[in-house]
Amino acid sequence: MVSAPSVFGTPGRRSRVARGFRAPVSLVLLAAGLALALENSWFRVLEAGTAAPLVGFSTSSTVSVRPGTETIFLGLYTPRVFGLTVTPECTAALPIAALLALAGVLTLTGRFPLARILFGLLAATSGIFAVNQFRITMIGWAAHTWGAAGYGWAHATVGSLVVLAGVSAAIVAFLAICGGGAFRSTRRALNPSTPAPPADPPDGAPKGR
Amino acid sequence: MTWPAFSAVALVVICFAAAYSGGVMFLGLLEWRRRGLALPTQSDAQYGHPHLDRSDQDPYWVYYLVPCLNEAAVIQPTVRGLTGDRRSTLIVIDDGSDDATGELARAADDGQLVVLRRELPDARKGKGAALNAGLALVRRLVAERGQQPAQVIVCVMDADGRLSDGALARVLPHFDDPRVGGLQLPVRIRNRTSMLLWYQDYCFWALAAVSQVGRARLRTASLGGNGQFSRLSALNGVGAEPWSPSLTEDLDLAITLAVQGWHLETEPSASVNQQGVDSMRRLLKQRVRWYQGHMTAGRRIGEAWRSPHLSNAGALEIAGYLLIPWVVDLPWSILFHIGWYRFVTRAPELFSFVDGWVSGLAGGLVWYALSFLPCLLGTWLCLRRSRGIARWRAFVLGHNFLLMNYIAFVCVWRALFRILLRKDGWAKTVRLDEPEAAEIPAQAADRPASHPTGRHRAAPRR
Repeated sequence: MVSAPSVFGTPGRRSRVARGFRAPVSLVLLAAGLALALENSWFRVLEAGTAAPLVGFSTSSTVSVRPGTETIFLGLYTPRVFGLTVTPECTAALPIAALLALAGVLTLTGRFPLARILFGLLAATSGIFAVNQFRITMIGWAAHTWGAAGYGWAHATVGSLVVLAGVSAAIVAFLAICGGGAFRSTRRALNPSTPAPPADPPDGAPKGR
Repeated sequence: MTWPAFSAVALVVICFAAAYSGGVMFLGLLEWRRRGLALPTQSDAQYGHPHLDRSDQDPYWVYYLVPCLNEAAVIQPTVRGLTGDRRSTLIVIDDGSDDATGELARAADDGQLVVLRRELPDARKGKGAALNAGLALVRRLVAERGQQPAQVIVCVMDADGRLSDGALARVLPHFDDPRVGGLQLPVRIRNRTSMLLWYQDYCFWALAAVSQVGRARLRTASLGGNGQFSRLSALNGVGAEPWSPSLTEDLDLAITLAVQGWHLETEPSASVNQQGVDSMRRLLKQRVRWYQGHMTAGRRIGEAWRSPHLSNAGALEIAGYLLIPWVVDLPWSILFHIGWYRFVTRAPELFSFVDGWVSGLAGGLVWYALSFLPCLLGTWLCLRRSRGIARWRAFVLGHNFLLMNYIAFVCVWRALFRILLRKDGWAKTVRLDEPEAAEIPAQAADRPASHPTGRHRAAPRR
């Protein structure tokens, strides 16, 4: 079989140790994704806990989260007390669970270096978490500033746009990090200073597949 | 399914679609700029004289393959448009036509045409089989003429296809890079006389052409059935019959070439035009065939994924492209309707902030922008790609999203049922009679060449 001359060479050689780790790491990632999708109340409590100081800072109001719950109360000791609950529909847990599952499948296929997948996963999940924190903070700020109307705007309209854009960007970032080596190779191939490979040898009769 | 689970699945599907489609479109726009081209490039192109401006120095021999089955309505202008260059040979593969396709082709010939007549029971086995028969003849002619396969370029054209003026001068230099195995030209719909035909033009010219440039950046541009160029040595590497019996033999060939490490390119400063289908029934039939071929090609993801010749980005792009019908179109056909149901039933909650006409109007506009953002981007792209198009038409085409959705839903499910029922019959697209104006004026061959890129035209970039 004749194949195209390539400047890429073979993909990077993975160490045997890394290859041996792939199956268990993949299983852990898939199991973590499934577990997070099925049971995420602890994650929502975490999100509420980390968002509360941000909401307090942005609204300059007193904020409280009762331990073990996913509801942030803001504007305490004022007539404008407001409660924000991180519901299963508002949490970043489900997109992160999907990303964990994707990372598990990619790990199992062996195409990308394990370190890149894990780094990409860390970056993308951090990004999704941060985007949702921003969204919760924005909803809290809008609700505190404009009341129920502000909540409606920030929650259903602007918030949805923020999450769609954020999760899409996180997926692109994850895949770009996983395939990052290839992006570099492609750029090198486009560089005119790259020595050209030998011309394809003329071949005679066609060969079977 | 609970609402949170529905929301999560819908979010993942939307974000996957946005990540893939948005990614290749963004990459396409960047690459377009990197190549120094304007988006309206070729929007005023003339068609029918592809050999204009071709350098005497280029070392390539071009063989056109035109598979035909009852193409009497369109074959003569096509033959006239592809002959007239001493380094080109046109092979019309008459695949058992009942009409006078072969005779009409010969009548339009100026000495560089070979009509390869296939008779039943060998004929009418599909486009791939016809192309393979044509390629066997190319190989024989190449051997007889002592030409080098690496310097032989095979161009597949539909019987109604016309290459833009000067196309070869733009296409052939790509093959100076010995790694380039194939190239696909952007497609324009010629008979844009109804919204349905404009819709097809919008899909090819505004959407596919830009995303193809993005995919070419990763060396994985897809090949189509019209304006498809490939290097003979690359086809030889695929085997005796490079075009498979698949319903989308062009996509199959693109995957095979990419898996073997050949670069697949596109060239925005040249194009090919063709007839669109003029009825919704025919359009659905054509798209079901494309969907079925696309979905069947999904089984080749593993092959692309394992290829050591493909870059990681290329493997990801091919996998993403092949997964679209399975992970976006099929689930979205259900989620889309649940989403509408949720939107309507939750409208009082979603629009709870509305307390007057000002906030109502503002809320409606924000929701419109949110829901129809891709349509607005499509409108912009349509305006930029098609010079002179009426703004209202671009707006309507951009907002064809709903129509596109439903065409995709019908076709993807029908294709799935056909796959499950193992039905793979191939119905050829019927051609339309064209008015004389669509014919290629003979005297045009003598006129001064216009610059095919449009870069030096007087009209400013829009």
